[in-house]
Amino acid sequence: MRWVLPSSFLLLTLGCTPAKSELSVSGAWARPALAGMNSAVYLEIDNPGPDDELVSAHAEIATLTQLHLSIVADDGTVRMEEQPAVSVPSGGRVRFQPGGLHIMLMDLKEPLEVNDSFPMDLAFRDHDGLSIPVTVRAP
Amino acid sequence: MRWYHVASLVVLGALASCSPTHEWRGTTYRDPQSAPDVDLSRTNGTAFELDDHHGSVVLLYFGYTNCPDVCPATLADLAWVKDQLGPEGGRITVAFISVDPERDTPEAVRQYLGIFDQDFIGLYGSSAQLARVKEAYGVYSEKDPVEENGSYTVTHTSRVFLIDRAGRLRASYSFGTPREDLLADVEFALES
Repeated sequence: MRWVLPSSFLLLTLGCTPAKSELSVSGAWARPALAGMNSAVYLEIDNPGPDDELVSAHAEIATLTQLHLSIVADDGTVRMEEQPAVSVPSGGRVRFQPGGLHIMLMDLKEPLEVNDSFPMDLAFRDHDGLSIPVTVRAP
Repeated sequence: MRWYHVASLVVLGALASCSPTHEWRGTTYRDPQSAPDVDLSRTNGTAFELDDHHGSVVLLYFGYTNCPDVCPATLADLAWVKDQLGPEGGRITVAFISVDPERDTPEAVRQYLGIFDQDFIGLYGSSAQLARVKEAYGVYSEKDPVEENGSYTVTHTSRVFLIDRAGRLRASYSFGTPREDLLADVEFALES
C-alpha cells in the first residue's frame, strides 16, 4: 500500500503531461505581402503518433493568425472558413496548400519579402507545441 | 466525279490539316461575342479601354489585395504564364479588378500587383462602375466578417477571363485550373 499512492500519483501525472512531440512539420513557407495586408502559411505535418489536432497558430509578425480553409464552389465562387481545429490523424500527413488549408496571417506588422524568415508557434491538443521557421518564397 | 472535283477535295483536305486545331482547356463561350466593356481607370489614373488592347490577349481577374490564398495563387499562375511566353509575354495584358474597393486604394493595388509582375494592370472605379463590370462578367462578391473589429474577407467569383486578340470573350478558367492548361490556351489565342 505504501507504494500504491505514489505510483498512482505518478501515473496520473504522466496522463496529464502532453505527449512529447512526435509530430514533424516540413516545408513551411509564406507568400510575400505588404505591411498591413494578409498572407498565408503553407506546410505539411506528419504524425507517426496517436491522433491529434492542430488547435492554433501564432506568428508575432501578424496581428491575428487563424486556421483557414478555402472552399471552391461549383460556380467558381471561393470563400474562406475559419477552422476551430485541424485534425492530424495517426500515421497521416496533413497538407496546408494553396486553395485549401492555410494559416492566415492577418494585418502584417511588417512586410514579408522573398527570403525573409520568421518564427511561428503551433499548438496541438495533445502533443507539445512546436516553434517552426517559415520562409518567404516568391509567389 | 470529275478530276477537278477530286483535286478540290484533296486541296481542301490539305488546308484543313494545316489549319491549327486546338482543344480549349478553359470553359469556352459557345458563340464568342465582344467582351463586355471594362469602363474603369488604371491605378495611375488613366482610363482603361478594352479596345486599346485589340491585338493582344487580355486576361481579366477579379480579386482583392487582402485575399491571402486564392488571389495570390491565381496571380502567381498568371505571372508564370507570362514568364513562360518569353518575349511573347509582352503581347498579353493581365488586368486585375478589385472586388474590395473600400480597402483597395489604387496605390494599394499597384503595390500589390508589383509583387507578381510590374506590368500587371490594376483597375478601379466607383461602386456603380464596378457593379456594372461585375454584372457583365457574372462576378459575385460579398463581404464575410472575420472579427468583431470590422475586419473581413471577401467571398468572390475566382475565374480568369480570356479575351482574344479580336476583343472577344473566348474562355474562362476556374480556380485550380492547371497553369499549363492556361498557358496552352493563351499560346493558341496569340497564334490565332
